[in-house]
Amino acid sequence: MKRFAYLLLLAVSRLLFATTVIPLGVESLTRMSTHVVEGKAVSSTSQWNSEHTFIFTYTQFEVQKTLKGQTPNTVTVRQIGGTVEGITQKVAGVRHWRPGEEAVLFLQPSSIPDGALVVTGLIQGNFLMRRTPAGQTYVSNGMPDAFEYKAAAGEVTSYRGNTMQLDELESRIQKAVVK
Amino acid sequence: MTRANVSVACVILTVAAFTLMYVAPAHSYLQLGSASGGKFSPDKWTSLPVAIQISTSVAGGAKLVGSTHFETVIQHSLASWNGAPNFQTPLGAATLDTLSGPQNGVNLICFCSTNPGFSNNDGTLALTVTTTSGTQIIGANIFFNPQPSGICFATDSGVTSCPNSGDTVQDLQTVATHEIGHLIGLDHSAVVRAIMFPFAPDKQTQLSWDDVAGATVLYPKSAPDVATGAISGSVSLNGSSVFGAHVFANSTTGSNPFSGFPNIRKTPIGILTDTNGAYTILGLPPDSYEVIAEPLDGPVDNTNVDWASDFGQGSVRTNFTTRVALKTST
Repeated sequence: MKRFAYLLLLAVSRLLFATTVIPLGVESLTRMSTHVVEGKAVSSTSQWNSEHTFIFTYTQFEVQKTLKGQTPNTVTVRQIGGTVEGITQKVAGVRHWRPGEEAVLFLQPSSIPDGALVVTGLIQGNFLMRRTPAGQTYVSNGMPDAFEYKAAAGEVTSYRGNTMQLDELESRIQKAVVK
Repeated sequence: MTRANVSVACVILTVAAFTLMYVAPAHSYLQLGSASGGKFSPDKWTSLPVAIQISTSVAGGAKLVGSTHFETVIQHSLASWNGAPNFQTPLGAATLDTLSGPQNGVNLICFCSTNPGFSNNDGTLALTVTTTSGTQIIGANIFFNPQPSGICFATDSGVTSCPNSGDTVQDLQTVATHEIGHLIGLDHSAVVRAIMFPFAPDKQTQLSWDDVAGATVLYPKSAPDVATGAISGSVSLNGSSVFGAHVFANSTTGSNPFSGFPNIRKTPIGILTDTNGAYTILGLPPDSYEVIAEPLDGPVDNTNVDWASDFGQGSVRTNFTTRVALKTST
């Protein structure tokens, strides 16, 4: 896709729209998070907030590894959106986890006193894990990091999405925690 | 509506493992919605026009710079959509209020102090929350983050710098126009210059052909300003359907059938294939096109759109190379 897409690119874009976010690096995400864990989604429930203006989905994660902070064996993560009694709230770009999905999660306490944690950067601190048949584990938060467009050549010479092997992500997190 | 002679594609591509062939029209565009039994149903407003309220009560400390008022910028963004060709204009004239947070039954656009959970400096600029019952959109709110990290919002082009020296300027109207696209039911587009492309340039307020096509399929004018056509087909790889291929029609001429609409820029019009590999590109103005199929593997990828989850799939298929598949006219 890259070549054809970028042939049409007139200006280098730099932000991610809607949910419109500013890309944050792994190190920034680590600094901003009180907890960083690797976990597997176990179950989810959705409910209206007390003002009946937002539906939130609460997903329980079984913690497999803690990279920052102290966490119990399970954590509950709150996301905007979900379905309650036939009414659904959606936010473009916010994906709810399905049971069994594994992720590296950058988390911080919720501003609402519900005991849940929230993903740092709304969607950015959610690195879904994908295992290859060859036994490698990749993680991605779907946020391209940087790319370069060469107008003269009409092509992109480098594009590196924020996708990496789990080992690399863990290493970057650990270095950021030490700093 | 005209339909392209896509049988030509079969001849062209039988030499390749990756082929396009004619099938019955399926769905089109990257719209918010859901799929059942392989059939995609877009979310849309059915009670029109949609009443929008703009809150003039901007949260304290909001990083909003410029001499133009917030509400004026939003009105311009709404006008961009309402002025699109062939668009039924579902967005009513916006009214002003002073709400500081969402309220039941109100479709609010705001820099609210009460919002779904922004935290200062979390990198989020804005988000749109749509509420649906089935496939009917029954409510929507657009929230701008008062204090996003590294950015200040500019309300006009006279703003060249932010009060905080470390911040950079982001045009508010560009973000607002994109978010309003979500409010009417559009998901992200993989067409690079579309306003619904998920990565924002500093400033882009024009809609693209792709945005117009997506919007007018949802809300078509009974008497269109410009007649449009469609191209249908399917994508397969070694005989098996390719789900989630990005197929787009790219004009091969310099003509502009939408020339009477200065706020529209010419771009390809693209969609994704369904679980049968089928696609129908609707809303194509009269022109000559080449149809290109490419994997959705960046800069927009599976994580930027809801397509796979809409169809109950884990991901779109990307293990193929980009192909120019067809040249045709509508």
